[in-house]
Amino acid sequence: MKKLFWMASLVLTATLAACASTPTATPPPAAPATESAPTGLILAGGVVASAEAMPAQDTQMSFVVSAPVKEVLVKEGDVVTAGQTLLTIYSPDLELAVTSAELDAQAAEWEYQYWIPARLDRPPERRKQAEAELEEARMKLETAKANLTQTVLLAPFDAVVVDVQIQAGQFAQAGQVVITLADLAHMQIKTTDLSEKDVPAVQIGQSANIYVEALDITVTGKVAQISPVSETVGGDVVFPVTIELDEQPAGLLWGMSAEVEIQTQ
Amino acid sequence: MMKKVFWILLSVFALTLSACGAPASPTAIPTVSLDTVSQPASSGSASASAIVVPVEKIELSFPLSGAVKTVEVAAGDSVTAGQPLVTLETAILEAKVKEAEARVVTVQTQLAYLIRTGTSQERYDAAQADIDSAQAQVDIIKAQLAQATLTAPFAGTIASVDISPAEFANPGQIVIVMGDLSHFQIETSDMSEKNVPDLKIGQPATVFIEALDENFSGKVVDIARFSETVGGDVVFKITIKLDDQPEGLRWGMSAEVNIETK
Repeated sequence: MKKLFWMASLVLTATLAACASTPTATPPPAAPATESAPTGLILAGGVVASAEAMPAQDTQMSFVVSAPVKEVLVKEGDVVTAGQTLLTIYSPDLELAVTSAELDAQAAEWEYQYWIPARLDRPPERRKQAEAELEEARMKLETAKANLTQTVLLAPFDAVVVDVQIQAGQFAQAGQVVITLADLAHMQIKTTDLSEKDVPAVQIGQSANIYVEALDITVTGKVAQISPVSETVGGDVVFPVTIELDEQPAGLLWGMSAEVEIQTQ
Repeated sequence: MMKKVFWILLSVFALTLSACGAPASPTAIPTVSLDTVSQPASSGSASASAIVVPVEKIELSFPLSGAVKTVEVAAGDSVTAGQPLVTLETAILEAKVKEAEARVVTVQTQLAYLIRTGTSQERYDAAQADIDSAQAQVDIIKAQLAQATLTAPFAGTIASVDISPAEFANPGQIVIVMGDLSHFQIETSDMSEKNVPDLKIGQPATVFIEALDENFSGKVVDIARFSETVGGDVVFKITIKLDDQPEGLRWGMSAEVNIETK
């Protein structure tokens, strides 16, 4: 009996406490973000936003000509340097064009050699013409060689292979993305919901605290860029703000969520 | 006895719940705020939502396809008119220019030979035509080469860059958006067709910029000649120029516009 009474009163007080908090529901929306950060983001004079980690540079590469893939020389996770060969395609017509141009250039060379000795029956114009034709043949060879470079994909900058979307033997269409590279050594933090109301206070160079949820750490950085044009997210006008990290934490991956607090004062 | 206590407690509990539910209910119905948007045309003013946009803005794309060689700018960069922004791989086109130039030299020597040895007018004309043709080929490839570099058509700021080195650019695919951020104007997004007959160029307008939490004065400078449809409503885009451009204005910021029609 007594036990029931205590239980009931406990429920009653709990209900009262719960309903008492509803009309006074005024805690600022920034509070949950701060609570989730154990190291504590500073609240005073700051702009808080959700953000995402992304590489400073990435590229989705494709071939300019359509052909079957000959070799895939890298795999996901490989570190590549600028100029390194990633993929090749099999294009016999472009290879034959080079061979053909080489033979033409050789023939033009012989023709030119024939007209070099000055003789009465060999007018100087014929020599000049042969010389011009030789030059032309050499330039055609250069064009054929330039065309052949289209069969090879080279890394445009130092990066990590993030995704290989094709296998040897598969047909690659011109413009079809076959490989994705990203500079994972230089990660940035980009806000996704920084409101237009907050953006006037944000300036390039301001310090920021970044709480990376997956790693459960808070790191520091600086505002590197404020998008000159807005984006619309669910009806809200937002400005993506890019933050450069002072020091990149180990284990930070592309797409990880973060909470950012920019010190605007 | 036990049952009775339970029922008393239950009723107390229910009363408490209903009591605490009461203060929360008389919240204002938010439909009132719609009034400003749907004002009757006779009220002497017309209101609409709007956004801040640069007077001069452009979306740039390549007229030809190719692999991107360099991206010279990033969002936020200031650029001058004619500055290169993105270049395509041009090794093949450059080789073709040299090839075509070599062809010009070849046909020129042919003509020189014909002139010295003497020939019929027809052969002379044919040789001259060969030179013209070869020269035209050089011009064509040089024109293509020029198209492989995207340049800024006016001085401004890069708003977004949507391409990376080694990526494939399709003809017409927007790779850069830029604007002159020193001159902004306000464009309405939901000015009803019902209000448009009362609007005239030159009418004074009050523009409330939400992000800056401030009112600014301006004038109607343009009324769209054809309508757009927004969520089933027929609307006309009204452009307003601010008398003085405030600091801190950004492309895409929200605004509320109130135009005095009397």
